[in-house]
Amino acid sequence: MMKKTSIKHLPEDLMVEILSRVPAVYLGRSRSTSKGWNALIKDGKFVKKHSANAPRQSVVIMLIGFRVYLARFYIHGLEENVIKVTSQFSLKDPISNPSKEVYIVDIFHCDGLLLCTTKDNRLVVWNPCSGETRWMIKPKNSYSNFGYYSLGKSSCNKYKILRVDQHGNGYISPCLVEYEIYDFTSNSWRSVGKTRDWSIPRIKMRGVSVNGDTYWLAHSFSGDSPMKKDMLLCFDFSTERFERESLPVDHFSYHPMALPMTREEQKLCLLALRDCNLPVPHIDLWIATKIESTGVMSWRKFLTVERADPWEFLTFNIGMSYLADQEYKVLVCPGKHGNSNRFLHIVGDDKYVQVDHHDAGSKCSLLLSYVPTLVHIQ
Amino acid sequence: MSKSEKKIVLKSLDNEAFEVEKAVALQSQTIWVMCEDKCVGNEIPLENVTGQILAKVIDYCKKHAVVDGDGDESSEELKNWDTEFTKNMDQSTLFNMILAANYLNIKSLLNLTCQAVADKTKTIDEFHTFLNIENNFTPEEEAQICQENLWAFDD
Repeated sequence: MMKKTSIKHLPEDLMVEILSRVPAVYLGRSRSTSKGWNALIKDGKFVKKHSANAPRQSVVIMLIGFRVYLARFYIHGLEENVIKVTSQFSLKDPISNPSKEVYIVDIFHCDGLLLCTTKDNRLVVWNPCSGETRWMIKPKNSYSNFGYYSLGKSSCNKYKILRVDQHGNGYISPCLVEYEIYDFTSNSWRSVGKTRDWSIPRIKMRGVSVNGDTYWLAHSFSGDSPMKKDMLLCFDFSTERFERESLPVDHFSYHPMALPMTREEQKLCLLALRDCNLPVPHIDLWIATKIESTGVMSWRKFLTVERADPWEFLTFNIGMSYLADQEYKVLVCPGKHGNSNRFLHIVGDDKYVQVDHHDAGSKCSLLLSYVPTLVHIQ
Repeated sequence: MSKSEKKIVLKSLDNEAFEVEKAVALQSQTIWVMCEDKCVGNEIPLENVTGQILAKVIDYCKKHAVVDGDGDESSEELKNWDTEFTKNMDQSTLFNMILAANYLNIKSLLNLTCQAVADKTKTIDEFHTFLNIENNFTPEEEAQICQENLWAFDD
């Protein structure tokens, strides 16, 4: 009879091999189980190994009434769409007031880190899984113009914050756009460029992060001509430059509306309205199947939604956030008009879903797919 | 190595002998080095692996060996085979497989078995029992950690 072998019989390096394959979701909540584990999860070498080995599991987070909630989606049959809010991530500021909860107005997700803008107008990068936070000052001129922030990662795995400062609403005419980068090492902002060649319409200011770079739907202008064109704009955090990427639609027959992300693989999608003059108007949803270093992007259409009443589509255009699900061929977005009884809208099935959480009076202002990691902010 | 030496005998800790194709056995870096060194004859004693575990390791190596153009199994099929292979192993067997894969230095088997243990470890209670970890925080320290991070995924 062979004697039972347990983890105690494994040397430490093999135990680390196993732990580096456990998704961050589970490791994060086991921090409180042992001192050795808590130290291990914060160890740089382990974090690197973990990000190479562990399967990435995405979860859905929602911003409801200045708080970040974790939600579980069950999109199965048409009858049984359920979204259950399971818990809250509580952001605390350990330096100024460790007992008080910090209210969050906006979130940008990149690589398991959340860049949050707080109600008291501060910026923080937060890894809810490891508990690490990094508070930073906003740039000096940030109160004068309309600006937005995104978090990205360069090819050498350095995190950076981009701030785009736009002197205009970006809808019709060219305006000055300035941008700067926050450097975690020097703890300061530095200007990286300015342009009048493009602008980002105010309702589309929230970009999405794909493989460390940020994408927006923007308008491009040529010279002083008032003619604007829709374009896909990408900020490359390695070169610190904006690039133009191809869209699968031309601006004569389609009106690009939003850039959803897929829930599981965090892939970029495009939501575009087909010419409204068609007998049955419809929106199409494409998925970017390849983003190669060559700069070539290939798109595949995976969902078409038709509506007799084209006006309904306009609600898709008002700066909402979306999650696309390839498997179930649906699109999920915050319920229209912020009606709390119709909390989330599942487009494709034309269903509204009531979300089960304790604070149903508030509305969900943001829906994100989040992939927990153990990465260090710096 | 001449062609006449195509077979090799692996001997387990409990003296069980397995005759296998060299191409199968050489997936183990440890055996490969032993053969290169010519420090052993045609029979290789493996002092850390029992016959029961060695038989499983050999099954794995046979499946993954590329022998004379016989390696046209699709990667999808191999993946499914790997999943089935570890699916019904109990905890103790999995740990023994990890130890064996580590000793024999078979990287892909080590990856597979470590992932299999990781996959079976999903809830906090499982962490405690499965990995047999003792909580060595004081209640104050534990409260501090929880304070830092109200992290709770309910299944």
